[in-house]
Amino acid sequence: MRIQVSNMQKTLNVEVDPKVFMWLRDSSGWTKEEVARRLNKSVGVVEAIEKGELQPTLRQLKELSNAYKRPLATFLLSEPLKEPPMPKDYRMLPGKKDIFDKKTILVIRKARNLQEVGKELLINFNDSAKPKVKRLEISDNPEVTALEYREKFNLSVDAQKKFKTSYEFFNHLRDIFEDLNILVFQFSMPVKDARGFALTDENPNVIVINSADSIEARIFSLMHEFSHILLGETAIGLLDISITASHRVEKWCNLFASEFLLPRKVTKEVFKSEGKALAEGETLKKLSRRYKVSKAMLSYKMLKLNFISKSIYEEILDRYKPEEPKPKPEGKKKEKKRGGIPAEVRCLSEVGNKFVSIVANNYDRNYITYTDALNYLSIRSKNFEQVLAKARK
Amino acid sequence: MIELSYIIDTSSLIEMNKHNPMDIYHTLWQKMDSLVKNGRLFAPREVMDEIIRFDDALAVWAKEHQKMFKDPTKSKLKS
Repeated sequence: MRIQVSNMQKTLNVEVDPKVFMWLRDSSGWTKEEVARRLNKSVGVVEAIEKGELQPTLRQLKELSNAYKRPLATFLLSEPLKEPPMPKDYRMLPGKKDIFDKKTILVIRKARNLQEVGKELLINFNDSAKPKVKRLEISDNPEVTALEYREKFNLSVDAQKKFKTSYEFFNHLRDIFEDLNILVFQFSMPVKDARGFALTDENPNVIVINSADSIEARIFSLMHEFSHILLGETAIGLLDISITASHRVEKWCNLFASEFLLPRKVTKEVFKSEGKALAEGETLKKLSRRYKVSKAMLSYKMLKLNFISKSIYEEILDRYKPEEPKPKPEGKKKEKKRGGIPAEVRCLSEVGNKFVSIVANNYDRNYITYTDALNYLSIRSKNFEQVLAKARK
Repeated sequence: MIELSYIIDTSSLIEMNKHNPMDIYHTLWQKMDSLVKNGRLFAPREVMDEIIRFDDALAVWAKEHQKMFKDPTKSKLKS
């Protein structure tokens, strides 16, 4: 790697390996056009860099390092790195390359990074980081297993109803999984890409839930991804429940999640008692609040148990379709403001109590530096104590 | 007498401001100021970027001490 100084020391041209430059763009999900827009250059310039005919400037590399959220030093590698595999995406046809939005790619990379950090931090405390669950086979019955897990988790129907909010129920389940050495992260990504995914090929196993989804949909995704862990499958989950889920693993996971959240026996009784008003908006709202499940899942159950027709099911699904945020113009833009959510609340929601605790314990023992701790938690110094205090509650 | 110069990293500055905050430990930070002023304390430009990410109070200090943060030179950027 060599650099050249031109324009009276102002512009530093950096000799990067064209293969590395192309790999960083491609693996970050950026097109040549998007990179050109970001750099205020033509596509021809980007192509020339990728052919090794032109050297990018240091300023351009810094801009791309910010855009891809990769350290500047990665541009100086002599060859592309081998990265951990992407989660399997069952929507895609066999052999077709998974194509995700760059926001989703970033979330997958972030989750992989936190998984690696989590492993090191757990091992520092002689924790193997292995999940404390028994792996299952696809030949096992998902519904029977779901009921067994309800019992293991002490989740009676009354207990489920007693949670004041769906958030409380979600956090309760998250705490249980964290005790089982399964880390649960929440990040925002396009809902069309993924409702959640599970990383089971490394320890600790990780579940990532899409925080752009409604909380009830997130509860379903959480159970769906947990069942992927039980099967030892690293996968991306698109739909919470769907009668069209074609892959048998997805079907297994949907059956597990829906039986876990609303056992068939209870559901039948509840649906019967609602009579003709069952598919009405008010009923769905009431049942969704009572059991902390999505309206989509309730309608799926109604269809499966022959309480409604397919056309009514589709009409309900259409009514409660998750809304996609409007696409924003591409190119250079300012960092998005993080709204009014306090940093400590965002941090806890994203990485969870367990991850914060293991970071804090490692910091207390001087296994990691203060800056490492801030970095792993993606927080600023002024929020450190608040995050710790909130995690200890 | 030989006057030593120092190169400092992000972690040392952030750790220092955590345990010896600049609004309390004035003398220590005045000494840091004079090291920068006398051209004896340096850091790569990347340190400034990292400070801005992690520590607001230190970021203000760093912006007032731009002089110490140096852009990479030919010899620094090597694969």
